[in-house]
Amino acid sequence: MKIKRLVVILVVLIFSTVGLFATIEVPESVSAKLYARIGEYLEHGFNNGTSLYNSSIEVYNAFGTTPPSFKYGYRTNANSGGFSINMTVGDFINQDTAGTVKIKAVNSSKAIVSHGTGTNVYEIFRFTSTGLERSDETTITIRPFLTYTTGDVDITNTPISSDKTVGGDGTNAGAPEGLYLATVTLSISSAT
Amino acid sequence: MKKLFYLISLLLLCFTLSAVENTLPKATVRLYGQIEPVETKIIVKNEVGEELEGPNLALDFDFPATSEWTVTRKLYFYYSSHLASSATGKLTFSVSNLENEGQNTLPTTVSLVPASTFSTYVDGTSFITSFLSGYQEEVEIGELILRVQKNASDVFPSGTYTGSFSINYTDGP
Repeated sequence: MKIKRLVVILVVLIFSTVGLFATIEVPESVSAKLYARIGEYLEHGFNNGTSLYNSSIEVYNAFGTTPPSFKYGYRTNANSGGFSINMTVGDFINQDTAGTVKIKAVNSSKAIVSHGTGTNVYEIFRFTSTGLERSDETTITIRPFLTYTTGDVDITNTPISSDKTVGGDGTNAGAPEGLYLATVTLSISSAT
Repeated sequence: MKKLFYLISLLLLCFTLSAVENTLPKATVRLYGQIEPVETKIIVKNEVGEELEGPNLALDFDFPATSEWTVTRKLYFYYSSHLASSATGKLTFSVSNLENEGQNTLPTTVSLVPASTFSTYVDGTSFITSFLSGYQEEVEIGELILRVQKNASDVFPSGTYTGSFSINYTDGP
């Protein structure tokens, strides 16, 4: 009996000491993970020849032989989602007295995405994120009615009268004299 | 606690990014154009529709060889303009009698007939005209009738008779 107890004790002691002298496992390599975030940005505005993405500009002599134009663009590094840039074109309004000169046409050096039927709203750009920095620019030309021809319609496809043009048609009166101002607004919205 | 802090921070960052395009300011361009005024121009035409200007504004009278006669000559007046708002102007006429070197005088009378009583009225020897706003091309003002009359009892030697005719324009009634 004493011998059996001695054997059991010895076996227990042997298993215990084997655990004490086991090998320490060390990972083969050690690495550290570093996290950094680049913020998203989106800029848009007008190229005035000196700097890009200006929020406002002014163009003069809009009733001259060369129709008024301006350069507009955007830059972004958005990594997800998309957006549209829409342009709303207002009529020329007399700043001195009652009078309006309507818009005959709107042109862009880059293809216009869409023009809402019967509206003065044009989709200029549509952006879908690529994960890379993207920029684009187009030249917009606004053409007011300088003269009148029977049957003329404006950009909303609405018939106009001669007094909504600069010079009429020689027989019918044009718009009254004075300083005229048209406001064109570009805004960004989520792409649908 | 740290995990909760990081989670809240991440959520706030996501909301901030999504709000960027909604708060992005609009870009605006202002286009300016000028329609210049056109000075009001008074146009004078004779009975055959010829426009008379400056030195050409002369009228010839051929008097018949009868004991009595009445000779009339007509001038027609128009205006062209491009005004921001309507305005009023006054055309005043002054005609002298026809005289020869012997100082014989052929009396001359003037009468005015407005083209439209809505826009023009007569005040003595003047047209008072309302000029419409906007571009206007040769809008009628009225006609002036010069009349020279000889009665049978009048005796006028033959010869050349001359007179003067003037038109004066002023703004306002």
